[in-house]
Amino acid sequence: MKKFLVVALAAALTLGGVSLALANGSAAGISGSPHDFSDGTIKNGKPGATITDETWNYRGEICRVCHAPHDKGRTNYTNGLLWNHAVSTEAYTMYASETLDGVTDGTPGGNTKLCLSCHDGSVGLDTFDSHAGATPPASVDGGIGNLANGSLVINTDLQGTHPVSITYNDTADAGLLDPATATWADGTTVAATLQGNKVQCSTCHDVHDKLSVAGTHLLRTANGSSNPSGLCLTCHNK
Amino acid sequence: MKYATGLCVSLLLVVGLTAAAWAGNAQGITGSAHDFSAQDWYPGLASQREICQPCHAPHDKGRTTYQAGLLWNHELSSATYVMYNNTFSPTLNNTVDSAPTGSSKLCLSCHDGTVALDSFDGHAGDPALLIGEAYGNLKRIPRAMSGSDLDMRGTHPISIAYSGGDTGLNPTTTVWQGGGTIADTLEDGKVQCASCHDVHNSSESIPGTLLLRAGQTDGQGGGSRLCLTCHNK
Ligand code: HEC
Ligand code: HEC
Ligand code: HEC
Ligand code: HEC
Ligand code: HEC
Ligand code: HEC
Ligand code: HEC
Ligand code: HEC
Repeated sequence: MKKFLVVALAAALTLGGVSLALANGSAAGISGSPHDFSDGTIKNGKPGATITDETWNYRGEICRVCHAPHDKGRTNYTNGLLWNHAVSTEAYTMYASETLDGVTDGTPGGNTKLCLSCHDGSVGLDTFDSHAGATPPASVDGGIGNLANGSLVINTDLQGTHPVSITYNDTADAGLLDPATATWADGTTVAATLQGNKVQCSTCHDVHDKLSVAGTHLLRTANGSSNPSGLCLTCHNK
Repeated sequence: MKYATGLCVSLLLVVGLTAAAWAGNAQGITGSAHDFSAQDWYPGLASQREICQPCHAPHDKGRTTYQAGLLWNHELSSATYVMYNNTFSPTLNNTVDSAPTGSSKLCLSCHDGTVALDSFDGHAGDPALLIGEAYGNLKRIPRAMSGSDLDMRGTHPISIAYSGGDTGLNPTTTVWQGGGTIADTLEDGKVQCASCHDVHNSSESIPGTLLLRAGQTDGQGGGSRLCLTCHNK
């Protein structure tokens, strides 16, 4: 693992200042992965980042940034999964199109809301436990995971992001494969990764980097040259 | 990382009150958080204060708390709880009891904050001795309320089967950092408070933690090691 990081880092340095869309998934679990904020290593550093270490994770634990075992009088747990990070209060423009058959929620729901509590760039990464967190955008825009100019930015305009919080309606949309039989690289069905039959961020990504494919952006099926658009073709019968 | 840990420690010292006021040392119950034998609130004569008695008694003496098992001697809570279940979290696979069971009920008899600490051995408790009043709200588990029920949905699932539909969990033969297997710390195959915590501060707990069976930081044996002992993430 350490070796891999070193190689990745060296590659990043070589590529220099251009867009560094390095895929840092290793499929070896959350320890040492992009979402391990306890190992002091930034994996997806972008040009101009002002966050250069992980000392903002003042507890030094892995799960706690996102989950905590006791509510301790805080209310983030009401988002489910013992959620321990402040969630975003932004308003979003949801993906819409004439040809869409599924029903999209009015606002991001389910697990998508959890991812956006960091990835929309409006909430300081260190806003967990009762910690007030740095004031965005200083901490987040200039930082990791959500750089103003980096490819990690997911703005509040979700029309540039694959539809999320949308029902998977393979009856109305004949171009979608049957989720009960379509499977990801690890053998789990697409259906098992839908939430209330909806596509969420976690349908394509495994945030814990366990059921994902090594060398991808935590994707459940590779999408690059090793398996060109294999992720997309898992659901779309194109 | 060493640097980061050092920084965390100094941060904790600076932040002060948010850090644990007391942490375990794995040296046994004597002198630990659950040794109340030196507390002024302990009912009766100062010369007759014991360690085990607030929780266990060797004879029932006509009281009924023993029916909770383990010679239980502390008044139990009659609060009602909203459980962390599959209705709340559709990804929860395993079977949860509809109310706290087993030894979790024993912990909650002090920690849910509704029963006075000195309500044991037939002693009628002093309402000023609820855990939140006497030791601060941090020690109240759960803190959250749902209407007039105590809300367990902000607490890690308890009274839940370890085995079942969830395939993301390690085998029950996995060994805790402090020794013993996961199986040893399940009760009827269920996760309870005592699966994570060692109430007696024995050598199975990790010094410097809140009586946990595994550490949670690099300095204590690995980042989120407690969680990763069970969850294969
Ligand atoms: C606590 C904040 C936080 C949450 C919550 C969060 N992320 Fe991230 N994520 C980050 C940060 C920060 C990075 C960049 C880490 C780095 O570069 O070291 C990142 C990186 C990523 C990456 C890029 C991985 C790579 O190859 O480098 C993906 C993909 C990703 N996150 C997806 C998700 C998804 C999907 C969710 C929800 C299921 C999610 N994240 C939830 C903070 C978060
Ligand atoms: C960056 C944020 C983040 C971190 C760090 C994180 N998780 Fe999660 N976790 C999520 C999100 C978002 C979901 C919901 C999406 C999903 O299920 O993939 C989730 C879901 C879960 C679930 C329920 C779904 C399932 O797979 O059973 C468990 C259990 C879980 N996490 C445990 C952990 C443990 C244990 C750790 C630490 C070793 C951890 N998580 C670290 C964000 C995180
Ligand atoms: C339909 C599948 C799909 C969904 C849904 C999806 N993503 Fe992605 N995501 C991808 C693919 C494929 C990539 C890699 C290609 C790329 O970089 O554009 C990616 C890349 C990323 C990256 C890394 C970008 C980089 O260049 O470093 C982040 C962060 C990310 N996604 C977060 C999210 C979040 C947050 C959501 C939910 C709002 C989400 N994704 C929903 C498929 C998806
Ligand atoms: C988990 C299954 C899944 C994966 C993987 C997936 N999609 Fe989709 N995609 C959907 C669903 C469901 C819709 C909504 C279809 C509808 O309701 O008409 C959709 C919608 C779309 C749309 C919008 C269609 C419209 O009518 O506006 C595009 C474009 C698209 N996907 C492209 C992609 C690409 C490119 C990838 C790979 C990066 C991808 N999808 C991966 C499930 C998936
Ligand atoms: C603060 C309450 C408390 C105090 C004080 C306490 N115990 Fe316990 N004890 C418990 C609880 C709760 C359990 C069940 C959970 C468990 O096994 O960890 C238990 C379980 C036990 C068990 C059965 C399980 C095992 O580990 O073998 C024994 C024996 C026991 N205690 C003995 C003692 C003795 C002896 C003392 C005093 C030196 C003592 N306890 C003090 C709460 C307490
Ligand atoms: C007789 C009442 C009582 C019972 C029963 C009890 N506790 Fe406690 N517990 C306390 C009190 C009071 C404190 C606070 C002590 C202090 O801060 O000095 C405490 C503290 C703790 C702490 C924090 C330790 C620390 O380092 O600050 C943990 C963890 C804990 N208890 C877990 C449990 C668990 C788990 C059980 C059941 C297996 C349990 N307790 C049963 C009264 C009880
Ligand atoms: C999945 C593991 C797990 C379970 C189950 C669990 N706890 Fe904890 N508990 C922790 C961890 C980790 C901490 C320390 C971190 C924290 O306080 O958030 C903790 C902290 C505590 C504290 C100390 C709070 C403080 O800050 O002083 C008490 C008291 C406590 N737990 C009691 C309980 C009781 C009572 C139950 C059962 C209803 C329980 N725990 C179930 C993991 C667990
Ligand atoms: C003693 C074993 C054990 C330990 C230690 C443990 N867990 Fe769990 N956890 C479980 C079990 C069993 C479940 C129920 C899984 C299921 O039914 O899907 C669970 C469920 C969860 C869930 C809810 C999943 C859902 O789908 O709703 C989260 C989140 C979670 N654990 C996080 C953690 C975190 C964070 C820690 C560390 C503080 C931790 N767990 C420690 C055994 C454990």
